[in-house]
Amino acid sequence: MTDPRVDLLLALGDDELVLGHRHAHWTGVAPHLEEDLAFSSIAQDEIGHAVVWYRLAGELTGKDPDALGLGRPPEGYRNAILVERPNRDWGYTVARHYCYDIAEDVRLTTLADSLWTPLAEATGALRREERYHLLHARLWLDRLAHGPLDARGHLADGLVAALAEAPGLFEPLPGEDELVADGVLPLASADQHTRWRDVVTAELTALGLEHVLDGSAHHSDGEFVPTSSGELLDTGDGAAAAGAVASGGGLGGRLGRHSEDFAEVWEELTGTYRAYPGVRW
Amino acid sequence: MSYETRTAEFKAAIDAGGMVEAGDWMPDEYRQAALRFIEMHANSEIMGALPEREWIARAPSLRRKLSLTAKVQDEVGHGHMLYRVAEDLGKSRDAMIADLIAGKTKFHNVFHYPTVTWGDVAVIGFLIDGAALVTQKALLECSYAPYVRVLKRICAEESLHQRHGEDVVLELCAGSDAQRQMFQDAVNRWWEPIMQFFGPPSKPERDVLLHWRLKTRTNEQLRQRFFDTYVPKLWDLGISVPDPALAYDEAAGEWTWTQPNWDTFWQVVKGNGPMTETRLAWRRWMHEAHGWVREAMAESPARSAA
Amino acid sequence: MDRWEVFGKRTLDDPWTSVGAVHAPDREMALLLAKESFFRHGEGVDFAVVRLDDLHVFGRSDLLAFATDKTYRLQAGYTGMGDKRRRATAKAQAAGAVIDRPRPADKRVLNTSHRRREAADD
Repeated sequence: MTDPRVDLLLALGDDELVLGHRHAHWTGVAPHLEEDLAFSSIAQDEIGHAVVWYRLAGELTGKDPDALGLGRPPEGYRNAILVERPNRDWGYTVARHYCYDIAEDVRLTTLADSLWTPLAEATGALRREERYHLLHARLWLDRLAHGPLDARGHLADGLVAALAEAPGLFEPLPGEDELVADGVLPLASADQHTRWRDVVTAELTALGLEHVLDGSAHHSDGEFVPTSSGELLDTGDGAAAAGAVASGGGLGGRLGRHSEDFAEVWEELTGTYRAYPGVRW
Repeated sequence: MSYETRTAEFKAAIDAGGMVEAGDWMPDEYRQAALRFIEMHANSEIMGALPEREWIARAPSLRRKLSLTAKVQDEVGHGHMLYRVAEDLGKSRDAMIADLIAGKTKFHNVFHYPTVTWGDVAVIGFLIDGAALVTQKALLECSYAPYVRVLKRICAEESLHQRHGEDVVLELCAGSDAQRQMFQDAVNRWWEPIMQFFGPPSKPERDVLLHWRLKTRTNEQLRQRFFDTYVPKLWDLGISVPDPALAYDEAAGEWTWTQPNWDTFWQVVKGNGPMTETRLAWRRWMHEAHGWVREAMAESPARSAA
Repeated sequence: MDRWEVFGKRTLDDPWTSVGAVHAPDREMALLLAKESFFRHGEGVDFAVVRLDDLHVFGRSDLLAFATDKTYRLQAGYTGMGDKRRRATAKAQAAGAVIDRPRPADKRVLNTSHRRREAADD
């Protein structure tokens, strides 16, 4: 019987590492030069967060952060499917960044009250960085939502796809009952999901994007987009964009069951480390 | 005052160590030369991000993944600052990026090559950044003040990259036989492009950049300085350089070395390097796929009070 | 009356540095007054003024401090290089791989200046 705290820490660390890995793909090729710099720092922050969680997991397992982050078989990774998806375009990237960082905020706020002191203490530094991530995610969400129709469309498409798999971030962990009973996890994943959904629903509704919550990239009765030109969107075939909802809520990652996209991540992420066992870099 | 007289006075001021600011009067020849030179430097930082960037995903440890991401981020940051300086000489950043991805403007030869192993990351971090640092430190004496101001910050960051690169090299050389060989193979692959990086030996009297003190050292002076610093370091680590002629000539006070194939160099900088088209095509595709983001950034929409 | 922040340059190579502020009704007057307020002792070669309202202050020092380990962005993050160099050189020596070809006199193989360089890295 493994310590359920290890599963918790690996889920936390793997989410951060895999998303940081995906985010880092933008470094050098982001759609705006200044944003390239900003988003690279966010990628680095997420990878840095993974190191914090792996270090804590290392105190329970005796393994170093590289062995945990780069040395497990694919089915050993506990990240949500959402974070392993390719970046697609900037619309999806912003949408996923937003969904994830709201989730991370809910998660860190929860864990700050953990009765397992080392875990509660670790959240402090991460929450400080998280403030910038939230600022960044919300500002981009807001800008694209108000942007020309094209930008709003890309954002809406991205949100539909990301929201469909965001529940995977709150998939119950193995041994979760024990974690909750011991006060290690002060709030069950399902309750954290509710908190997250409340925040996301309120914020997207305020931007006139409530239709993406139902899996539709377009408003059912046409929408007035508050751009300077006051364009009106034609929503003739809006329902066709709703495709992505059917993927089962992006569940399975916490049990080590991943999407077809994970193979590529795993190969890139762990390939060099695995090819030269036991050396220093 | 005639254009010729004004130009002669400008040239005399520069020769006397005078500095030029963006708003100052300058001869068209100076403006064009400065713009082309700084634009190419900026392009090279942006394109230089790509070869190393390929190894962010494959870095062998979490620490190296972080440091390499941060390093590539800095290179993009250099491009960002340099485009800013170039813009004041009369060409917009959008136009410079458009020309870059259309293959109309150039970038340094070393960024047209593939990165095959982690050993290439070591070579780029140690030797190519080392070569860049040698040339950029010399540029701190140049006549265009806004460029010098930005170069001060760039050189400080490049010194950090250098240390990062040397650290990667030392770890490989202190590591397993396979790791040492990985670095040796990469040095063998990169040596000729690095020799070419400094440019062919040139006639100083025909170099327009030297004329305007946009450069202060000849290609050969910079290459010799690179040899001084880096060749002994490699040799001490037991890493050979694929040039049997390379040695210091005590009597002449300089290194003897073998000229690389300069035809290859010219082919590469004209855009016919092994990775030129792949990298440009990819950047072009990313650029075109995200025109909508640039539009969203350009617009100041009637925003809700937020 | 508006407050104007004043930025000066000691030499043309320097970036703009804040030197103080003046109260003035407009840009021209601010420039006129800033000159005698801050540069009358020959403090610099140029200066600029910006209306205080036009300075958009970030005001979040909490977001500028490093929260997690960012030493990889600093020189100090690369430690123990002297030790690594010693191990690498020892490995090269053991394999008889150190290359002793003609080099400048101050770059002699493994001489004392080399050792000094190692010590500086530790």
